[in-house]
Amino acid sequence: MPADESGSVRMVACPACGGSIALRAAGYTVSLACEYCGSLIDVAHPDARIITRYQEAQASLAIPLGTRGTVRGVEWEAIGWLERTDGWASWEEYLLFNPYHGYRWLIAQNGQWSLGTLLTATPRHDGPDYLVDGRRFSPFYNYNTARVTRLFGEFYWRVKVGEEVQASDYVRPGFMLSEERDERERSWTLSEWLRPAEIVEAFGVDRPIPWLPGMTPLAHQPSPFAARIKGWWPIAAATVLALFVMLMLFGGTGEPQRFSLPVIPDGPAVSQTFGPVVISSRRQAVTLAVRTPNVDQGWVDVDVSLVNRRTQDSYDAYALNEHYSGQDSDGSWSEGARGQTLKVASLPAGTYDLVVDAQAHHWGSTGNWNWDQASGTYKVEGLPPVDVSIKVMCGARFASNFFFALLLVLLPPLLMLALHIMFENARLEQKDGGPADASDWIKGMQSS
Amino acid sequence: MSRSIFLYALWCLGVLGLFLAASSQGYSPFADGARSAAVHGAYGPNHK
Amino acid sequence: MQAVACPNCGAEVSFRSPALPVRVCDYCRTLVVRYAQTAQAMGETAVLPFDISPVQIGTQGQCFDQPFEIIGRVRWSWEDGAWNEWLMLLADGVHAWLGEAMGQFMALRQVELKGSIAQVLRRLMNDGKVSPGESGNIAGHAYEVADDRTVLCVACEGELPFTAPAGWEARSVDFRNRDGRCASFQKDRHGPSLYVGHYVTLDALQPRHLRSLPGWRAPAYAG
Repeated sequence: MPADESGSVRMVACPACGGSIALRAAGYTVSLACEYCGSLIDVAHPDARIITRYQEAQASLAIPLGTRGTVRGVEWEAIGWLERTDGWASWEEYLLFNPYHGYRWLIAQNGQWSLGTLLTATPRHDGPDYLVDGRRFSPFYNYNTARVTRLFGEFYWRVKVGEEVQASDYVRPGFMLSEERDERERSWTLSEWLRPAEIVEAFGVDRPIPWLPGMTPLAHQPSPFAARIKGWWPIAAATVLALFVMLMLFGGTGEPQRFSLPVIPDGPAVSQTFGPVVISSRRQAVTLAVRTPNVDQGWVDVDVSLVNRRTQDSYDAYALNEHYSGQDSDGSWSEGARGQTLKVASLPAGTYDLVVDAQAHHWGSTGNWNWDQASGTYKVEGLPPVDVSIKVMCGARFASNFFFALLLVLLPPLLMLALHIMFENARLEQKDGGPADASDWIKGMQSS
Repeated sequence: MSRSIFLYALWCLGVLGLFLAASSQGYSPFADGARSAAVHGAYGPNHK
Repeated sequence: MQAVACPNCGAEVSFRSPALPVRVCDYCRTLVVRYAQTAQAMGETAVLPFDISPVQIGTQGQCFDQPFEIIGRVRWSWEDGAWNEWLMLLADGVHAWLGEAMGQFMALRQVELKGSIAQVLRRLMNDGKVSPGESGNIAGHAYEVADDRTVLCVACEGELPFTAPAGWEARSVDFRNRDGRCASFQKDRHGPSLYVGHYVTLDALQPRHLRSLPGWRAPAYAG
């Protein structure tokens, strides 16, 4: 059967008066009315039927045939449209034509658009993957049957509804390599995912919607989060470095002042005032190292207050030092901290008195018990006093600030990473073959 | 420079600024001690 | 684009696409409806493009490191499509072919079918079956079968190195490989022939005297 036919042409004349017919096409409806006598052409009229069918098919397309659009500097005309399905999903393909550049395919699926080119050179097989110009494509869809369900317009071969090919797809972020074969031929198409701005500018279609959790991305849709992570991590690294430098610079402490006082376990609470502690900077933190090296089988509660002599404002902190030890089936054990470092924040400049209140307690049944009139309890007498020594330094290194700032800095990239993993998992769910794992997430971070 | 990179850089700058402000004031929300509301009474020589 | 004479006033009415069924004549405002065999099958079967090509007899350019001029054309048709083969006269007097199909160009030169021949070619010479993707070594390079069709010559023009008989039918098998090379095996009533070459893009041919196509702006490289 010859493949060429140019066909014949006829004029449509009004059956009533022979006058010329005006064609009005608005959306789906076509009306043919005589300009002279006003009579309408019956839609069953063969000429009217052809025109109506064409118009109806046209009106429902996102890109009406004959529309021209410029993609990457080349003007293309949409000349044909078809819809295909592989039994799982369906998608649409527009055939674009430019006589000096040949043909391209515009593929629309789930509101996302890709531009496809038929390859002239066969890709190189490498294990399960294929290579095109050194770029690696991994298997995604494995030999599905793609069938044409609807078509309209002009194609460089006479496609028919119901035509089938065996299709396999290989992907890398943003690109899909498709193999299609039937008994007579085998062809390769390389398609590139188009950014929403590109396709909207070229053909004025509805803007593709960005991915949200719950949606399924296309097999080759690039993760928008990967790009952000790649762009952000140098900034994050630089910021963490700067934070660390600042931590070191601002965290220095001045000359220490040492004070000490003894306290008797289970004896009365003691209070003593030391000083002066001078804060010379406009505002400064103070580090107090509270050590009780000889506390044993008990605890020492030390309350410290820095009282501004002029304003009588009090800056308080407290330390609870303790130490316990013993023997059990595993051997000897000990627990507790005999020293603590307190950091008091943001004292305004001035002269301060250090007020220390301390009280100690001893657990145990060694020694004699005596009735202690003062507290109304039996108390062990003769326990050695616990020495409380306090080292006071102006300035403090707040590592907690650093870690909090670190958390704030890393929060957005970690959020992007979580979204990237969600995106990739949703994307890879449709993959033929094994389930997705971390290596797939990393492949999804590849540059296009 | 894309918009998201610009915004993230702004965010990091903000965190750095906050850290700088806190460090220069010797401030930390995680400090062990701070100004207390209670008045302990007069301590030390406070008369000229 | 097909230009027809308006049945009412005789003015030129052009149909930009063969799928477009109706145009209004610019002069007498008559509705002109185009009927093709596939008009009834609209929505079931695709329409084939008009036979237009940017290449024409007289187009000149560079191929196989030589200047060439297009001097003839053969149009081959298979059941569901068609393509052109343009005859190139190279500067050294040798003929080569520029196959134009699906907007892609294959520059081919005939090679003799002798000596050690790949299995797949032997099978073709004996009218055997081949499968797409099957590989074979041709003229020192590995190729794979791209397609296999029975074709009919539907048009001839210009100077050709043969006289095309009526009803000239042949079997045409195309090969392509990883580096952009291509080959074409043809067997007809007179016997087998083999052509070897590579894919070229229109701009790589540095063409001049391309056909002007109304409605399309010729690219910068075209004369």
